[in-house]
Amino acid sequence: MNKIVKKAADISAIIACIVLFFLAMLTFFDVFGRRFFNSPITGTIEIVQIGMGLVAFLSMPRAFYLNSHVSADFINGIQIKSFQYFLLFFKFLLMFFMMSFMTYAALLSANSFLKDGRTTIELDLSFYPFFYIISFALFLSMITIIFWFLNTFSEKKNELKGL
Amino acid sequence: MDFDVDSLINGGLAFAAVLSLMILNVPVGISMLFVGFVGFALISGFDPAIVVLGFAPYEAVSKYSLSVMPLFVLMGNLANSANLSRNLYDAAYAVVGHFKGGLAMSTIGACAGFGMICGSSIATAATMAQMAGPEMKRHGYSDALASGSIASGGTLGIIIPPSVMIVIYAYLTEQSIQALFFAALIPAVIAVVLYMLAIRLYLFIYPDQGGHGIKMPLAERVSAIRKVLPIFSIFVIIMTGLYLGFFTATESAAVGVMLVILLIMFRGELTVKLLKEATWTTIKTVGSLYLIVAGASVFNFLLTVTGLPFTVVEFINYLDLSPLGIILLICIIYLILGTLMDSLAMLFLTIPVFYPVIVAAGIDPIWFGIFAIIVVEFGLVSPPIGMNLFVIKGVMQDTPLKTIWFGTIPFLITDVIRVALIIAFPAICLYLPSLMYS
Repeated sequence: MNKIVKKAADISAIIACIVLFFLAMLTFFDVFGRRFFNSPITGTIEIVQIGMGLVAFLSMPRAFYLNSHVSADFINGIQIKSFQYFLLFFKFLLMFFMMSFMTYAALLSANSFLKDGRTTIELDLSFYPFFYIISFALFLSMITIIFWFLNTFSEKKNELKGL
Repeated sequence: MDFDVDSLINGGLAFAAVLSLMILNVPVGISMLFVGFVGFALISGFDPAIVVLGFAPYEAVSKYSLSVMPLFVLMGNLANSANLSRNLYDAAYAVVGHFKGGLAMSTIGACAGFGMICGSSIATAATMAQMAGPEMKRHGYSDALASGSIASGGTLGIIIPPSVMIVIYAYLTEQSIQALFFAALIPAVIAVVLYMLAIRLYLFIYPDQGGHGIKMPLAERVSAIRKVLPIFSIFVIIMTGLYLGFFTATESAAVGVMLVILLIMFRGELTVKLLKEATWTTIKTVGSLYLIVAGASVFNFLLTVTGLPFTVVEFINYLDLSPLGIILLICIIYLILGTLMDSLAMLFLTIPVFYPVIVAAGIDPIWFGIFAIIVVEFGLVSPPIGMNLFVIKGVMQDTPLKTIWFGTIPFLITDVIRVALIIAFPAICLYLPSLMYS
């Protein structure tokens, strides 16, 4: 199961990589077309905005799995077993709590966009598919947080054995 | 007193809660999300809080002006994966390496050069630590000078455009990224000069702590410099394009990415592995940066409903502080926060509160942006959580953290001088942006 979750987080990050590269190329060719051929690519700004939203949320599961989020770790120096377990559990609870609510909130937004049929102005793209993807990415983050916790807990157990 | 004490207390509690969670090792983004969401739910109710949580993070991360950030991070990572930093270091060494303290000065020069294509201080410090650290040690440099010059040189990454911190400040305050990039140029040059002077002065006082490298023949020096000309050209193209309004900041970042790819391709080094490595690192950085952006977007909702930014303005008015007094007060707050908090978190947490204050006091927002970023830089090399110190420690593992911090003191002194200079002469920051608008 751990491997499957890691693979899913990696696939999500790979999609984010591809989208990011696509956005870089799209923007470059938009500038090139506009400046040299007087023909910009229609809706570039809208695509970049939506694309960046996808990049942001699709890149989160892997960041959670690798625990690469910015945090102040100077309290980690306190080598008291129970305190270290408390820190780990507390961090897990907060991360899980927040990601669960974010998933729920994004899903509600996706449903409401599906209902009211809201679209982008220039390209007339529906918002709801993107919000479903975002809520799925957030759900994946939620799952990776559980596995991050389980992995870190067993590592911590070995690390703190001597204390 | 004609300000809302309740708002000050509520806002203060929100800040205290975020700080406490951060101290308890909770990621910065999650701390802000949690306090923002729970605080907003307590004040306005659960349903409005869920609505905010459903759209505010998306609105924040999909802002067009912010899309410049991952693209510049990608540009820096591509350059890093292609080992362009080695060329920069060699070129800097060719120019100043033979002087007393030349290797440390080369490190500063290479950091400045790398800062032109990489907007991250940590990436700059990490890249240079791997290259310059062992080199300086081999030439008999003291651990303090070697690590101090790399840690401080790394901070140039966040002031030299394109800088992630500048982009974030522009995003938070809706100021022009172009104007901010140009405002940062002269302070960045001053920083490089002052850092090099600090090295000379340090070696004047402690002559045995560093030597000089071998003077290279002219042909080799020219060849080393020629190798970095394309990197400088990319920087010049980006800055000129921005200056002339040829493209926007986001477009300049996309152009930068494509030019770096073309450069690597012409060098015959473009491989799928390299592209994969660069994007993989970028996505990892982007994932963590965007969580903070998402967190800040929800936390700012809470700040707005508490009315804290406006109350702080009223409170400052009540204190009747002069603009200089306000700046000094902000400076002290940043120095204190810098010892506790990551620079990015500091910017996200404080700018929404400080910005209305400085605008009300008639302080130029562009000038303040550069000032804030320079002061926030201090945090990168201040114990206990100066990120650059840990990055250097990670690479130069046998150097004690205390020694690394001691090594940054001469550079911190020059930073204080630089801050004093930009306070005394705001034109240092405002001259180039004024040319843009004229």
